[in-house]
Amino acid sequence: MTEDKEVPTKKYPPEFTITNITKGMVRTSRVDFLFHLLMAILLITGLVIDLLGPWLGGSLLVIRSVAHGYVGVLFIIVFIVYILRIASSKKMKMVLTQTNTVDFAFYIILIVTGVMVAAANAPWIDILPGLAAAISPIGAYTQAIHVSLTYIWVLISLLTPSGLLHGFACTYLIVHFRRNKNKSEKR
Amino acid sequence: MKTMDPKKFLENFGRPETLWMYACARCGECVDVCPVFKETDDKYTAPGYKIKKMRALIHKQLMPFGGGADKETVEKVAKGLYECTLCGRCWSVCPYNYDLVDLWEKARESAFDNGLAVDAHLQMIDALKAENNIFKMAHDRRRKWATGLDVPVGEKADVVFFVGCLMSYRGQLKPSAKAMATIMSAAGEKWTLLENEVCCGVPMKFSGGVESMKELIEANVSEIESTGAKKIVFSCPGCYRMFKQEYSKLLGDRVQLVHSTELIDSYLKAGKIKLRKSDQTITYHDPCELSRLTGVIEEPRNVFAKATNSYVELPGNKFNVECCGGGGLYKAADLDRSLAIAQKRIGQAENRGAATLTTACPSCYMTLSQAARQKKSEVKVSDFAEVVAQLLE
Repeated sequence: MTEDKEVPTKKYPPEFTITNITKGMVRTSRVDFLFHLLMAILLITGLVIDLLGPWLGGSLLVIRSVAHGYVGVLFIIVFIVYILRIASSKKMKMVLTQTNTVDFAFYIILIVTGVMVAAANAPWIDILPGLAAAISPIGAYTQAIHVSLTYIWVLISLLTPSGLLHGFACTYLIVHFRRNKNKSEKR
Repeated sequence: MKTMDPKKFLENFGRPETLWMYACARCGECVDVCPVFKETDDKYTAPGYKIKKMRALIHKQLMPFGGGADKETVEKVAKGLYECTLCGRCWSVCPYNYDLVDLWEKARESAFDNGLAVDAHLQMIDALKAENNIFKMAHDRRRKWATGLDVPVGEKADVVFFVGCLMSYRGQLKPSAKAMATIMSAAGEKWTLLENEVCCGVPMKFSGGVESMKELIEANVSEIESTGAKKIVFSCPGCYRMFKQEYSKLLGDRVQLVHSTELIDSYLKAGKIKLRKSDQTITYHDPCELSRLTGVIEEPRNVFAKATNSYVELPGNKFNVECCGGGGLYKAADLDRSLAIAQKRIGQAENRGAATLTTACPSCYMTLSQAARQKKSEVKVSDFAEVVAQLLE
């Protein structure tokens, strides 16, 4: 059990605003904040590349390599730290659900396929020739796996209480209930 | 007798509460700081775990092939809901600033409606319905504490002193009520007691049995309006917060609500009363409902600055106060664990070398003094107003 945390005075009843959430997330865990921020960027840029690619012209390369590619590298680093944080935290394991675990499995596959798509020259051939040979048959399908798995994740995370449902719930609350109004609205 | 239907549990959750279940950051910060979870190590008392289970129950209700909630989980969650002091420490660390106190209260309403309330709480509700107080003591004994004092009752006055059930009926606390009366009279205040004060209704809110709360509220409001008072003073933070949340809807801005610590601080600032300084080492336990949930933090400290030469702070204080274990009717649900939490607080006062541990809440006072006796501690637990009254010049 960790020591009690000193938090700055907050006003009760609380207000739910994007500023409060951002401050709260940064105070609680910078890794958590970065994880969510980078994931949102990756999902949005991924959807832009896939759905609006033909209309993006020269911008497509920038979005694909910088906003999706390099941000993806950052995400991998943050994701590793995030997973290690969960693995070492009793309280986080207690509050995370099975659907979160499924989410993490999705992210791992998306990371692996993403790296394979991005690193076209497969730099791991010299270091891990056996692994390179083993995965080479799926090389032609990695992009298809990466994209289709994203859509599958989008669908699943809309039906289970994690991922996108969590994000949409936050967005809805910020937009509609930020001043604690309409408390009596039905489900 | 109410019967339990797992499918109807948490049915009272509207859109905001339901969405909050999904929006929860799952960071576990609330788990770390919960005083009850620290004591029990039972995951059903951990705020984050309760949210996880409640979310699963709601999700099953919402999804077409969810399968419905199971009775065993509902019972465990409901038990966990009552094993909570409603101290709001979970809210204080929530990165999303989610009003968890409101959530637990709403969930308790559903538990109550499904026949899952704690027996001791049901007895309190019965007592309230019979005698308008939680102790089932005769209503006409409510002002017995004032016997021998020249106390104005039901008169036209500027200020109403709302005494509350604990201070009116508990022998230990009657001197605190007298002390408050003495201070107000010493300040030259034109004040009065209500002719027919009844419980403010907060035990009903805490237990989830809010059906009859409205009657109590209306009875008190009518009494208050008959006095023409512009200010109501409370010694109990529970009553104070209840008035701020519920009564203010009826009273509006016509009446100012103040806690005794705020009033005494204002008297000292205005020079209406003067205190001689004590040499005793005094410390102060912030009641959760007063400090964290209503923001009265500096006022009692301002008073202590003028009341003692030796004031020490407890660890886990002010906004981040650690609960005494007596809040949210937890003491009625699990006395042993409630007192175990309070003993830790007494231990902290001992470690700081305090001779007197004061608090400005009758519930905290009862819990801490009981724990001090159990612990055979040399720290003397005192009520805030009593300490001030003893030091009046």
